[in-house]
Amino acid sequence: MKRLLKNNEFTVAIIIAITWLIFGIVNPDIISLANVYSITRASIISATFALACMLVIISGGIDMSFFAVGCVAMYVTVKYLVDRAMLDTPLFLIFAAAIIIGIILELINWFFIDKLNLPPFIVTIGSQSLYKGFLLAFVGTTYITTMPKGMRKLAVTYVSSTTSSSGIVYNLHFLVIVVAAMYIIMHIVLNFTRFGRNIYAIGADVAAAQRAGINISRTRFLVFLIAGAIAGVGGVFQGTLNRAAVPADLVGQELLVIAAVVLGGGGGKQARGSVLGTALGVILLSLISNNLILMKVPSYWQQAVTGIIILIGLIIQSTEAISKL
Amino acid sequence: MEKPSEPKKINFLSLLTKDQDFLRLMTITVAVFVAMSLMRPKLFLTVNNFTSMGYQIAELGFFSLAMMMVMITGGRDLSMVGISNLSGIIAALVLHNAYLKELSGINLWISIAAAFLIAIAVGIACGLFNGLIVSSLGVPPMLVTLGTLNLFTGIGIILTRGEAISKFPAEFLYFGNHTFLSVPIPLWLLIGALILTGVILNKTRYGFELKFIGSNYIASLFAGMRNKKVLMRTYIYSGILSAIIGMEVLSRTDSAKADFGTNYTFQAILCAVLGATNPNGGYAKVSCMALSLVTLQFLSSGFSMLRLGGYFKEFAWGVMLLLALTSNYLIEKRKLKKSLSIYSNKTQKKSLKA
Repeated sequence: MKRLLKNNEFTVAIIIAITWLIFGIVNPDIISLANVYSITRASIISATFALACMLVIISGGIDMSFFAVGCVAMYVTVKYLVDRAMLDTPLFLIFAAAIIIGIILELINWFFIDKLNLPPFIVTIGSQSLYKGFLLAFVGTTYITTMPKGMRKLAVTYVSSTTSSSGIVYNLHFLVIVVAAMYIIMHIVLNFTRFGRNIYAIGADVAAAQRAGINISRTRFLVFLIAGAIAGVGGVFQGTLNRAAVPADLVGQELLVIAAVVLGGGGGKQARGSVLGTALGVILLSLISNNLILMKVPSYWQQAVTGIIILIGLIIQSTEAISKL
Repeated sequence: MEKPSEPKKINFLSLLTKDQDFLRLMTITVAVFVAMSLMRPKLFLTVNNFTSMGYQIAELGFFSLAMMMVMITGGRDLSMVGISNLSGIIAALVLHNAYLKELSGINLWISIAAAFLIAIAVGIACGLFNGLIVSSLGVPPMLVTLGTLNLFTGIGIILTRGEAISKFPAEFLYFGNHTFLSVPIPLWLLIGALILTGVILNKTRYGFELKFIGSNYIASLFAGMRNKKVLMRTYIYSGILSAIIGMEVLSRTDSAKADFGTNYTFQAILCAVLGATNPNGGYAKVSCMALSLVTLQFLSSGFSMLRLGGYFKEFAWGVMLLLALTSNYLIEKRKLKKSLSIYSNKTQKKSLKA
């Protein structure tokens, strides 16, 4: 039990349970399956990007540009296809194109961070501005609403559905399953492969990792490559769920995703993030942000509440770090 | 911005020869100035343009100074804009009240003074909060200030219910919209802040300890520095600067809004890094920061005159930040090589003699 209490994931899980319970007492609708379905759908995007961000944070860096990368990857791909009236392009090709663009953009980050040894936060906040500005100044600023057929089909693919007490049908979106699969794969990679352990090692102490014979540069290369691929996928998810390609509509909201990773244990001075923790962090944040309205809390409270939760997450972790000493 | 830099000319020559960072930035500033003057002489080289640039430069200048100070410790303060808006909003509540009651004479001035004091108190409180968490919990300052940015902005939104507060006494609006000796009053404030910061950095014990802590936190701890106290003071200083500029924004725009100027955080980082501040901590120079500020303002106004939109600006700022980082890196590397080669030459000569 003591070990469990010290476990960060366990703490977050308890916070989720308590919040859920309090919310449920105030408004019983929140505990319904319909609400669970709508929360999962609302958290698909942040869950996907959180995975990319978590990987970079575990490796000892930070990424502020993942939304910009995702948006560029999605918008450029969709615009290319729509401009040439290639709306029948199969879905996997769309994903492949977005993934390639995402990888290229994240590898630019990698070059500056690893090869020139520059601070990751400043590099990625610069590239965020660069990518967003590039997209809006040179590619386009218009909303594209005639999406490729594959994406339109994906947007309405559901696994199961339920009817709420008020008679509205809620569906469990197919992409929830895809995201869950991505999380499971990432968990296996991080915990049961040498590459995964290497990421934790360079995140904890670069010099020690180097002396242990880990190829720092190559590990970081792979980290940014995977992060770019996930960001590209996340961009296509965003376009799909929006049913429109909106340039750079997520950029500037990176904080919520980073907060999820931090809540899940990625916020300490030494890298400790975990896949389970990140998943719980995403769930907690979307639980709160989606249900404050059902709780009859005015929507303008949302930002302050988010800030308080991040700070609480940081404080919980630091007391853990102190008790370990 | 040209005028206030004149008194510095006395030791200009010695600076030119000694200080490479300053020389490099000066070249860039002059080049940008000449380029913009050549491309849009009728628009750029006018008194009006320089006055309007003077108003604009003050806000970015204060934020950049605050960011620079925190960057010296190796941290980042992302909550500056939040602090500035929050203190502006709280002061706005006082001033709006004064406007509604149609106060005049001594009562009006008392409420304006109270508004200023309250704003600065809010800045100090927010900075203290940041400093306490950063110095006592040992979590990255970036994450702490990301959290407090949301908290401060959130409180601002709660206080205003997401709307803008406007209508303040005309006497208060004067200071953000008028010139003194044909230099905008906000610019005078900025010049004062720049000089004050320069003195603090170079002439006080606190400034020395600040740079020491930034270059090596653990070594400074063993050297008997008051690490936590210095960190705390730095965040409070950043909070005060943010609060002052919050009041300036309030006065200039006649409105207080919780989400004003969110772009400033990024621009402040760009300005500090371009001004030779080491983002890993330990080194900064106020004179270089001031020059990079002027350069950015020239470019920003120039881009607008060339009808390059806001999106292009964002792109250009991103490119510039990466370029500045890279050039700083290359210069550092060359310096290191030079010092190493001097060292190896000496050892070679010694071995030859032996």
